[in-house]
Amino acid sequence: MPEFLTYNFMQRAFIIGNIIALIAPLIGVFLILRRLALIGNTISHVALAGIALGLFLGIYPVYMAILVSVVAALGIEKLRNSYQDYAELSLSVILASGLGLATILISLSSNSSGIMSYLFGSITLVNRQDIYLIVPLGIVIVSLLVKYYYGFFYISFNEREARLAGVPVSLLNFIFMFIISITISISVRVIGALLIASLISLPVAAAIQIARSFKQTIIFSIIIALISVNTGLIVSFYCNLAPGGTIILTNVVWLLFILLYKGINKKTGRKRWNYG
Amino acid sequence: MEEVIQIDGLNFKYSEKFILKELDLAVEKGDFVALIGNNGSGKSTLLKILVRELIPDRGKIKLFGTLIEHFDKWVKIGYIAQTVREFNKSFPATVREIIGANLYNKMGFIKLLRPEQEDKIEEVLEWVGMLKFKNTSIGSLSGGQQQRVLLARALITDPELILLDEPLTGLDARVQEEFYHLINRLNQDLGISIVMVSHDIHLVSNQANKIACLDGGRLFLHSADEFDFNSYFKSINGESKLIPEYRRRVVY
Repeated sequence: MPEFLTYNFMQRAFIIGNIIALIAPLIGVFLILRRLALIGNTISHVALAGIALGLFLGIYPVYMAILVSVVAALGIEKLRNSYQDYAELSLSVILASGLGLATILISLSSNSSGIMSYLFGSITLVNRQDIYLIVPLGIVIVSLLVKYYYGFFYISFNEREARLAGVPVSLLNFIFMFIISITISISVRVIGALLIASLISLPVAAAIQIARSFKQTIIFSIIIALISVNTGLIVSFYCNLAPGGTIILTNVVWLLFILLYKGINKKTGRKRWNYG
Repeated sequence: MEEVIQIDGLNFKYSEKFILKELDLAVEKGDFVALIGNNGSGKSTLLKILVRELIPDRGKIKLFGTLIEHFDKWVKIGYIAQTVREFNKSFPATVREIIGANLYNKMGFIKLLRPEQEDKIEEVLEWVGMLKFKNTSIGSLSGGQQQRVLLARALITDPELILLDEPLTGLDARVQEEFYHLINRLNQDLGISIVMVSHDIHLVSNQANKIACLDGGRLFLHSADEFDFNSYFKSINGESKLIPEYRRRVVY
């Protein structure tokens, strides 16, 4: 067994990291194609407020992050329906409110040093309680995304037409917001609140460049996220770096590599990959 | 004759202005109705009311004999909006995925395509002559091909009525003609009733058996045989415009 896997905390980090690598790009595909990438950023800042609240009240921070971000996500969905033309504005307001609240709670908290590990992620923080929470939640999220696969797909393509085809759009939007907030909240341990939005969007940004179908976009995004998370965790273990940052930078390298590959292909006139 | 659509005394107002007023219309099984009229005459509004996207202020609408408020067999109705114009060209989905999504209501507990549904996708693609593009990404197709795919998507639920809202805007004449031919086959061979909004009054009135002309919120219905194009429209700057002085109501 490689050295990094002999440590219990590393085993836990790998379990959680791989679950997140599976879910984050999966929701990212639906978010980005609906041009709602900012929602990930907004909820992660609100989750930060939840963590600060947990630290302040002495409650397990991930529970508080889940609670606060689910409430915020439902608020966003309501606002998005009320202010369809200014959806981004309502997101900015909630993002700012979350960050403002987090800052005040951090300054009030006696345990303000703990917040750093939630901002940028930390491997050593992951404990057994996290595993018991995150593994079942991960299974529920993946099951929901598989069960409603074509519903989420249709809504991403055209919400109005999806409604006509009998897709329960309001219910699925509600479930989706719920999934996003849970995913972000459980990711703050390893990836960090400031970086999780990148893990939602970067693998998709890379996959979308080479994929020819929706299914391929999802598969490629997950592969890229899995490689990035595992490489990032190993590098951060040996080099003592923040795992979140290492994971994100690995992702960026992937994206640049794919863009470069596409650029070269375009110049040499080779055809795009063509498989269904 | 079974009535597919029956509208009685329909009113629709937007900002206190009547868009549709006291409108009556009956579409029978097998009809091909061309819905024509000037810009802003309420053609698209009428179609949106028929798919429950807009709610009228007054009037009674029956679809397949059921009041629209209680109608739930939406799979019987295919609707092709002016989608090509609002199409996200970079959406990474294949023709197969786009068509398959319309089977959502016929999927099982897990919303994924079943093998027999894959066969059905091939069948409708064959019908519109797009089978070889099954695994092509939708964004890489031409406007006319995309419109055929959307037609195949409407066909996959075995509809009895297809509503088309100016499906050919912006496409060249040859593509338009091919598309009309296809719609005609759906009408003649499969017996699907068609209501089609079109700007191209000449082309659509050649295909349809009824011409419904919207003007000033009112609807004038004609049989295609007696429809005299020249007494209704004149060409202004290359576009056919309704001539108000010739307006008349023909009981069909």
